[in-house]
Amino acid sequence: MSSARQARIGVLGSSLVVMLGLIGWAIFRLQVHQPCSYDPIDGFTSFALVSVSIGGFVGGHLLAGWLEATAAPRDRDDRSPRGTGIRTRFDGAAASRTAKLVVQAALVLFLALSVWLLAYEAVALADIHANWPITFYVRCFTHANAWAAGIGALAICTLLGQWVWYPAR
Amino acid sequence: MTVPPLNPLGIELTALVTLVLVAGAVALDLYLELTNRVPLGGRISRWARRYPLFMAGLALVFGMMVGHFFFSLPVP
Repeated sequence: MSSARQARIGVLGSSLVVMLGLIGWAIFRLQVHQPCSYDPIDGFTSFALVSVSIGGFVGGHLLAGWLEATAAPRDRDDRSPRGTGIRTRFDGAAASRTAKLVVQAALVLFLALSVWLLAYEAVALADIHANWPITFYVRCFTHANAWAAGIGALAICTLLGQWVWYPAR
Repeated sequence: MTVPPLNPLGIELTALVTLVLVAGAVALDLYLELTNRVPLGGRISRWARRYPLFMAGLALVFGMMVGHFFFSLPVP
């Protein structure tokens, strides 16, 4: 196994452990004191959070570029089944179709969830006397746990930088 | 401005939905890497080259959300 692949597995494994730890913290330890402020984030905190988000995005791209530049060619690609026999071709095509269906279902689920969340945000913002918009929850969380919000924004933007701003080989 | 009191469940759900989505994507990427398949970034990149406007739209929405959450100005 190449060192770049080991590094990528290490980065992803440690990210997963951190994420699982944060999920456990959110379930068992997250405390928000009442009343919680939903005022806009401003001043140094706002500057720091936006800078951390942009920095994480660029850092993720640079990390992906370094890992990809030193990575060995992939053994397997879902699009090209190995072997030349009819059975192999048939199994490969079926597996490829299944993989495409799974990816398509995941994409539809993700987009449906995004639409639902954005619709709730729009409805709640139209009348904030009825429900808290998601923005207020994020601001409240940030006022109560600014460091945790910064770590979360950094982690998410770094991963997005790796995935969305992927280097060309 | 009068708003209803905070619902603690909303904070929990906001944090959990975000974290579970990202953790799921990281787990999938780790699985692809361990089985030596094309990683998630490579797949998204291939998809983005095929549908650039779609990807630009998603990036625009995500950027607007980050600005909306962390960079908004107070209402006069």
